[in-house]
Amino acid sequence: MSNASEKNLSPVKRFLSQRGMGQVITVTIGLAVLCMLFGFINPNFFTYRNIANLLRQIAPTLLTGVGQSFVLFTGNIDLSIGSVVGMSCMISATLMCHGVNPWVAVLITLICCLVVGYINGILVSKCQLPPFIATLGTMTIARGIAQIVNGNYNTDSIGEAAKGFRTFFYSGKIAGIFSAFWIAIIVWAFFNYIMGRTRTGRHIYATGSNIDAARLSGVNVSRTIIYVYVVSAFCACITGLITCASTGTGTMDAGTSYEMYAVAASVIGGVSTLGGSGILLGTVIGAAIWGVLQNGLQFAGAPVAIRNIVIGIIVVVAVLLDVIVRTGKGKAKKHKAA
Amino acid sequence: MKKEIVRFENVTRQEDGATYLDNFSFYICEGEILGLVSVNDREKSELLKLLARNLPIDFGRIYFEGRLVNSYLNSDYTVNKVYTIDEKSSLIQDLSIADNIFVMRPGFRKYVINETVLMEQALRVFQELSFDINLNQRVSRLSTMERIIVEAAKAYLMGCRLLIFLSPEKIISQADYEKFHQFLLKLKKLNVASLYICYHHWIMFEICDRIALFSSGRIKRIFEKKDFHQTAFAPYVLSFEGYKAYRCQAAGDPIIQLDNLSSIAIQHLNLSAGPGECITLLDSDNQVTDELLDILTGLETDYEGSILCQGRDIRKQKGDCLDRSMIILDDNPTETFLFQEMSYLENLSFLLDRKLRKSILKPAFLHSVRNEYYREAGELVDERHIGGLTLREKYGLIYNKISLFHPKILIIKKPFAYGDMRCRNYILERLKALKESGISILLLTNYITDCLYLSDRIEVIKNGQNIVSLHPEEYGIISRIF
Repeated sequence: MSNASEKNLSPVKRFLSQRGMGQVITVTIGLAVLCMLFGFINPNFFTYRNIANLLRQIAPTLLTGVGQSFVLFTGNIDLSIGSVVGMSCMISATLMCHGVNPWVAVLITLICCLVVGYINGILVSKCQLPPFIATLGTMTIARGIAQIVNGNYNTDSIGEAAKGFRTFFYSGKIAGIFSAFWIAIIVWAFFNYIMGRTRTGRHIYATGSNIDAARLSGVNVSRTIIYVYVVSAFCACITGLITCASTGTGTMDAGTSYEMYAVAASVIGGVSTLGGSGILLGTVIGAAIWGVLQNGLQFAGAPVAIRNIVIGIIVVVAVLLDVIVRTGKGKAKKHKAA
Repeated sequence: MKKEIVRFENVTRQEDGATYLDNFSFYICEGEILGLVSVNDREKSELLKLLARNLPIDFGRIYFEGRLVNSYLNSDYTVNKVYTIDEKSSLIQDLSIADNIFVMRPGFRKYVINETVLMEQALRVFQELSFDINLNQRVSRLSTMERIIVEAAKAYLMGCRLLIFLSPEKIISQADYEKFHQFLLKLKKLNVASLYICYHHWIMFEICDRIALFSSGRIKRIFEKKDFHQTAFAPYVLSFEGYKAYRCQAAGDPIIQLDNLSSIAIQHLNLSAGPGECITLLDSDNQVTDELLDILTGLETDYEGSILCQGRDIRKQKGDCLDRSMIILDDNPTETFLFQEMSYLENLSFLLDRKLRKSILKPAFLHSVRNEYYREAGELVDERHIGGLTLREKYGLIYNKISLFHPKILIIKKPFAYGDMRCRNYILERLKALKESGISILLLTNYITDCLYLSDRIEVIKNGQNIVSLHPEEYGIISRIF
């Protein structure tokens, strides 16, 4: 295609020609099929009440998925997400239980979580630790902090004083949809803009795609890696606050296995675990598929064990497809390059 | 008078007691295409390092665009505006061309990216270079030639006035060479200097303004246009002409035979090689080599036609290359055929147990192998880690291993891609010896260089199929085919 014709692309075509859009379209079709299937099995699936709840259920997965996707784009992984969620939940709840203003508690929690993200980034980028090991360590540390912050007990109810906090993060509604979902969507939209339209986004893709070339091109690779881990911790912190608002107490095991849900949402949505490719729109669809499967299988009366097996299989198949598509593309590229 | 881009004045650089640049002097002017033939690979690498970065030198001065940037008195490790284009892409595969040339460069300050503006600017750059390309496509979809041009455009935009093309014959297919030379001329018009580094001086004859011969740490001689002929170079370079003498006389059933082979890029490919025969597959548009290697190694099974190894269809045979008495070497075998952490002897005898169909090799047997190769490799055979061996010594190990395994078929992708002049000489000698011992050799290359001296036949492949088969007396017409 010539330059002239490239410039004349319609906005729709331009949108569809974005990198990673093919995978997003595929999983969107998959999501539609799942919704129809569960709607067919149980017509209550499409009731307003269920859809509102489903969207609220999706919010934590979407938020942690966005954070994990950022890290995956650079070719790394963050296993500490779940523990940071627990830490965020416990720190904020403990502070509120001790009479600290909820918004001050939110600010303190945010700072604590961002420090964990920063440490992750430093360990991976500056100390050159393998991300799996570095974040495994901080995962344990963050869970320990979650346990120690209230003397190894879950907190009491955060009380009436935190009603505004609970409404803001969980139970409030705008346009009939719970605020937790809106928060997730706003966070997603902001980071989607960063990825798609800013220099930072390009640097993140570059770091994941070819770290040496990125370094040679003038990208501050260390700063980029620290940035993605901080974003991941920020998303985990917001998820922790939502969890705290939803239960009204701080629970030490909040966020357990969330790092895996986050990887699943990202991978199902087409974000490659090898780094450098995928888009955050895919993470939304991935999180939605995850939520729909949980919700739909529950509606269909499937036991928890079956739900876990089905979802596990879907994650493996998604990664397998990613590998197959990449290999296929590799071959096609070789052919084209010749 | 043209402005000088780089000037080295009596530069000496030593490292670990070895002298890599010894009173080295040379210059490149703007818009000049200077060829550089380096006899030694390590010396060339040191020169490239010094061109790119102002590293400490033991003597002399280096000027960049008329400014003193490095001297024996002061080396500040700063980076010079030089861009090297080689086999490995320095572009980000998953980003678009426009992103790569604008956003992925030092000095890009805008935080929010306006793609329309980016596209218009990129369009201007490529118009200046007279090159039409879809700027929105991702770099991973570019052909090798397009990738080189995009990298050059990026360098031009970064203000680099010296581009280094490192062994372009390794990556550019014979069919694309004309386009590549046209592009170099375009850069010349834009006053960008090119340093064309290649081990084969005759490739540079048609494009370079001057050719420098770099040997023993210094420029031995500068050849001007009028000296661009073999006889002028003959006293300075190793001559391989003598190898033309050896041709395979043996006849017999083919050891390897490709019958009507078709796959994604390969179209009805036919080929056969008998014992002791050396066939070169000239993949002129660089389409079939990797796919053919994938098929031969069993990575790709989706193909039509047949491949017969010693009369048996490999599709019907169980096992891998070793079971078929076939060894396949990649273009960089020192990296892909050897294990750096193993000892010389471990590398030499790795998989020998399978070859001999024994579960354990007795120490006495290994000792006899060691003694046998002691004569060839000397003390090296007792080396505990091969990481410290020189390039020539590593190639020695590779060919010793091949000779120990003595396969029926040896397939090599670009056999001379990574060897310097001395290495190439050595590789030729070893290949000649293997050929004489009755091994069928199949060389896969995209550019005919030293393969000429060894081949009994050259099969020219274009668009995935044989277009012509040349015998030694017809080799002179190769350049006219494209």
